[in-house]
Amino acid sequence: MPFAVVGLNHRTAPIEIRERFAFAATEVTDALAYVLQGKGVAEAVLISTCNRTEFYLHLTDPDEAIPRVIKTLAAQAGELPKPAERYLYIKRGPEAVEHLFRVVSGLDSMVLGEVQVQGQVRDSYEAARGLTGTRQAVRAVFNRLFQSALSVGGRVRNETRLSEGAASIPSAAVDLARKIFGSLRGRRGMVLGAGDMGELTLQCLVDEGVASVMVASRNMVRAQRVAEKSGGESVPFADFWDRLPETDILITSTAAPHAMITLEEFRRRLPGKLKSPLFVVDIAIPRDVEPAIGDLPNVFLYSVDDLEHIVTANFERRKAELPKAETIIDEEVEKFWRWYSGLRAVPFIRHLREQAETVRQAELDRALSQLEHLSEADRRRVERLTRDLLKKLLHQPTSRMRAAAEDGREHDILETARFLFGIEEDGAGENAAK
Amino acid sequence: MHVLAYAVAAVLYLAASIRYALRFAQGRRGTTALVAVLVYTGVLSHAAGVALYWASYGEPPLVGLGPSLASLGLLVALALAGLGLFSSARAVGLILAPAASLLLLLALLIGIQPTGSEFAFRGPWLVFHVSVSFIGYAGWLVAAAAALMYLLQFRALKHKHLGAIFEFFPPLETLDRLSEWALVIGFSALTLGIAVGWAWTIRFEQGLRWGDPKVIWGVLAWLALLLALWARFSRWRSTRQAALWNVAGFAVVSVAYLVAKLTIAEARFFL
Repeated sequence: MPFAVVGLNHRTAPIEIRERFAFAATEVTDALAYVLQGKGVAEAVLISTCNRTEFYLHLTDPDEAIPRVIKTLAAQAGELPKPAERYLYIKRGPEAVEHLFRVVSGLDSMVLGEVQVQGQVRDSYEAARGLTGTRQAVRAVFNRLFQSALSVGGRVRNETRLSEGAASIPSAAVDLARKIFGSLRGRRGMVLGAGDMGELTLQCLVDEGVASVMVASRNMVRAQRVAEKSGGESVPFADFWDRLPETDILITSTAAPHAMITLEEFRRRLPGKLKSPLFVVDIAIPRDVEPAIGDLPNVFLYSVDDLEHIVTANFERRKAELPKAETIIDEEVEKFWRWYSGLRAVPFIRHLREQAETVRQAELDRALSQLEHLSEADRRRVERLTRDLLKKLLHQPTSRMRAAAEDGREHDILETARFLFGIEEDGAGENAAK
Repeated sequence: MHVLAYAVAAVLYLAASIRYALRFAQGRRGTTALVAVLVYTGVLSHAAGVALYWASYGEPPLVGLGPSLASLGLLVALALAGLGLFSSARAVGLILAPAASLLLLLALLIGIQPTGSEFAFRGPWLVFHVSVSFIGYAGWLVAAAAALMYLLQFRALKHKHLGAIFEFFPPLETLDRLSEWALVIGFSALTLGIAVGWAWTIRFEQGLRWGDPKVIWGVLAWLALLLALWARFSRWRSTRQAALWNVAGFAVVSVAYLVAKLTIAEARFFL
């Protein structure tokens, strides 16, 4: 089988093992160059993200190449609790192509349908394309494979709802905030308390463009740390109410055993009606915000349970889209494989064309030497006539040979054609690919 | 010939409305390129209808119920096409596309031809007065559509009903901004339209006839629009209340128009 993927992912190895196998962006080209130096590898792409490290290989000699790739991965990981092979998988042929298509579509991701992986695969492909000359990592076949993969990812996302809806609590909060405020650029956020989930949600909001961030916590050291990380300011816990009127998004995640924001206090501190919306994300358990505050005009209050419901509903919806996505992937694997199989006829077709061209040129030279009275224009016409004639005569047999190869029926047909045209057997599709 | 161009536009708007409705029913976000193609082709066909009408009758389609509705429909469709340039606001087409279809279909049913007796206001005065007034009404329709969507999205977010409305409708902020801009444009245009109409009556007649249903309705519309604008910019009203005033005002004025049209004989040439 000419294709293989060798690697590990979040299903076969825990994070502490995956990070050992991971290649930094600066190490990727060296790793690829090393793999390509060995025998048996025509093309290679290395995808290394937090969830996976995978070598995609176009092989001319699998027995030689795959052990070398495993050795490369093991060397990268160093000392491990178990042998490196225990964490790795090897998929070959159409299974490897299908695996790549599943990866790029987000079907193999930790968060089903995640979109970032498409960009990560594109970056890996681009990095491999950057290797040129004798270390060229991507040629015709992998160009086609990875372009097909990226287009499959796009198709799955356009034709299914696999990537729709938030898939985590912080992203659900961001999604809701966007539906209230539109763009989050320039919005002001505040975190009350500074629990891990609150910090994570805050970071997601900052990534979306939330401009100024305040962190109010009883633990000022922690507040300062979180504020520094998100480029905001820490404020004393006691100042929380004073800063609330200038806030658009409030995230609460204190460890208090009772509600920190009561309806009575809210009304006392903010006696007028809120003219613009206030989005409150209460991630704390027990809750920091009295539920009745959600009934106030212009206050949108969401608890951790509400966000979890959103995530669960989205996950169920994504799961329901799996069959559609898999049908697309099956179609595309078949399409790619047909194209690849068609390459098996290419060396023969090339030889046939070369042979025919040699005959044409020789016969043309002979004929023209006897037709010296022809003008230059007429000589060109005769030459064009022979070329067009040859092209038309060869068109039908070569197209049919390619089609037969795509359908896997090329063996007998090519044998017969070789016999009829007197063309010696040579390398198959792999040579054409190069 | 112009009727055919109008009919093609109506069919295209209707097809776009169905696409919007399907997308909404599926709870999908955003619209597809097909909707844009339908709307833009519809607008081109609609504009061709206007040009052919003008060429046939030597006057723009601004007088008589049929031509007026067709022209108002074109302005709504232009607003829809303009919003198509802003991905965040495209979903307002869920209301605007059927509105444009409905106006044009009604016009086709009534008949798109000039009504000679009413064409007393010939010349640039009429064209300007009617055109800017129609821009005012179309602007208000856009504002009311955005305000209605605001109220529904607000309710969905408030009550955590995160279904088709949450997914398909634009964010609250976008709807509020759109409603605000459309109100400002609508109010300015309608004010100018009424002022030009008033000036014409002073110049060519004995001033406004205050008992004329057209005048009463026009002033009612202008006052309702003024109230909606005041609610939007008042420091004491929330954006939700402003949206409520906007939708309620538009509903009252629309119902008043229908009542006047159906019950008052004098109002038969109205609009």
